[in-house]
Amino acid sequence: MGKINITSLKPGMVLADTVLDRNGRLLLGKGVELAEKHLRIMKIWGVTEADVEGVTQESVEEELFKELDPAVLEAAGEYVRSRFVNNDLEHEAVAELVRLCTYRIAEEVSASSSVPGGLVSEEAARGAADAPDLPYPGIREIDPYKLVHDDMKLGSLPMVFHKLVEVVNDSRSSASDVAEVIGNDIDLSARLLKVVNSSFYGLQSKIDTISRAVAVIGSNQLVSLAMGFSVITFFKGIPDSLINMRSFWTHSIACGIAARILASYHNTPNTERFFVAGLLHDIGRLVMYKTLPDPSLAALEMARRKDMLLFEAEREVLGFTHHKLGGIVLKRWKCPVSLEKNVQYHHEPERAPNRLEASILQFADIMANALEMGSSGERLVPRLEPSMWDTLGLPLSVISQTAAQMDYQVSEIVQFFTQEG
Amino acid sequence: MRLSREDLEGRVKSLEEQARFTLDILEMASTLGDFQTSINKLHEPSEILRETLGRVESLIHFKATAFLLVDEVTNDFVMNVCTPAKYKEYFDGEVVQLIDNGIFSLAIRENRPITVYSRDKKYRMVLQVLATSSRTRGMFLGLMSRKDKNISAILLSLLTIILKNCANAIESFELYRLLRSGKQPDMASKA
Repeated sequence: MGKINITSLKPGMVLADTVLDRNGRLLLGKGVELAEKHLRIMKIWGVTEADVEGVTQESVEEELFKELDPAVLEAAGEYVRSRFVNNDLEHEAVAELVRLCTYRIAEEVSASSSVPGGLVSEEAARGAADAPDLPYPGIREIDPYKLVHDDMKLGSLPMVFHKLVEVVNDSRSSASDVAEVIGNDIDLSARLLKVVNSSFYGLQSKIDTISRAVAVIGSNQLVSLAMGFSVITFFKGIPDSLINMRSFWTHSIACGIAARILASYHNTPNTERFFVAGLLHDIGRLVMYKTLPDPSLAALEMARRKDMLLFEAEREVLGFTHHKLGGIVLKRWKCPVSLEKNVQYHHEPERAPNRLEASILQFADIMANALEMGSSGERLVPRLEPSMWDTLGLPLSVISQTAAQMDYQVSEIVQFFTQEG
Repeated sequence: MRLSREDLEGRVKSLEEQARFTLDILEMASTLGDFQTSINKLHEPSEILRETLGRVESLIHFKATAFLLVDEVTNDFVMNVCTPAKYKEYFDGEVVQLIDNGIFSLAIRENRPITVYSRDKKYRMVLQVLATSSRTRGMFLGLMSRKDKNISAILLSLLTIILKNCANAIESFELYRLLRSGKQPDMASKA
């Protein structure tokens, strides 16, 4: 027996254990034969998995795996494992991610009828591992604080961003202030309305004004989204040789969507701030690409050749990491402290003031990387610390549920964020 | 730009009006916790819902409203009050759709008013969960004509306060009911 996802449940199956909602409310008892009315109750309460007699998630997946070519599956498995080289493959959450990614890639390859050989493992791609690193003597002299303070351009964010920060920091501000600030920026308003009307919120009806959007999704939530949007326009013009910006924002948005979904399992208020934290989690990397292009390239090269995580290569080359720089930048921009800290500690949540929130962001980043939804320059899957997974305290089924929702929402949101004008 | 005396007088008048409205709202908010009905004498929660409805209607005009309460045995949401009653079927259909598209569980999770359009796009519908810190007790549904003005943020916050108090009152009622049912066998043995 084992837990299976709600999407795999069918009438007639028999529950092998009780079903509880996220707050521990007993919904269905052990031994209940599932009928449509029980599936309705699970949907009402947002249940993600159930223990069913005689069926395991593995057996459900095995049936799915049987439909795929074994050679394709093997090649996909090898490729996926090579991307998890910094992870403990025995850990339950890592194993689940590897299984999920393998299936998705094998399914994709089968659908496109391309050859399994097209999947080149990270080890093979690395190639000339012995080639010398690009030398950057003295680069460790850079002080990240000085970097952020000296670069005048970093201070010139769009005016609407500063106004939004004022609204956030002013306890007397109201929903109408929010609507006014956002409404004055026509481009921002148009993009926000597209997101509010997208599957991200799952609303059936069209919302046509910012004041309606404030009423429907809440003013705090809309401010969080607007802040994320207004920052994006600031980082235009970074060359493709360093990073493909569409791929960068795809990764950031995927991380934001995953963070928002994971946060909702913890009854955390204003889940949009997790979306924004995900959107801006690698902002330090953009500052690096913009202000230190050559050393950034050296770090990218080092990570590729030595099979290192990119943030570890950054530390080697620059003496500091993108997450530290991200925290400094967000502080300089007077962003909310929780946003600053969550970004600053997204690779070391054990040091964060709020471990749970930083862990949510870290796992969201791991998922976005594992599912290869864009990239901020990182080619491998960041390390999952077992203690961080314990802090999250989520059932394994949440991983595939979250991935399914990410599939649905990411491409749509990316389109709104990255389109011109 | 210098404002004329007339403009300034207009501004003072509008600010005075706003202050008067705010005081009125604050006074109302401070009494929202007091229910006229004595909870320990009730036999079913409908009276609490009707009293809550009276307060909601004094704030916001809905075309129709409904309260769904959680059936503690099946964990399903069951309609307890619907006014006017002729909208019951309409609400039933909407609820099925809201459950299927995940808006219902979103409303439970988010614990704030959520506004969506009805399936036929004729109405806007406000959903707000009735929840205490320990348990979800039910769901409020309010139907508004599409042409009506948007509900202001202040009124939505007050709706949340009223419904939170309603949820607490229902919880107290349920606890009293449990207490009463627990006492009965004891009384019988004494007799």
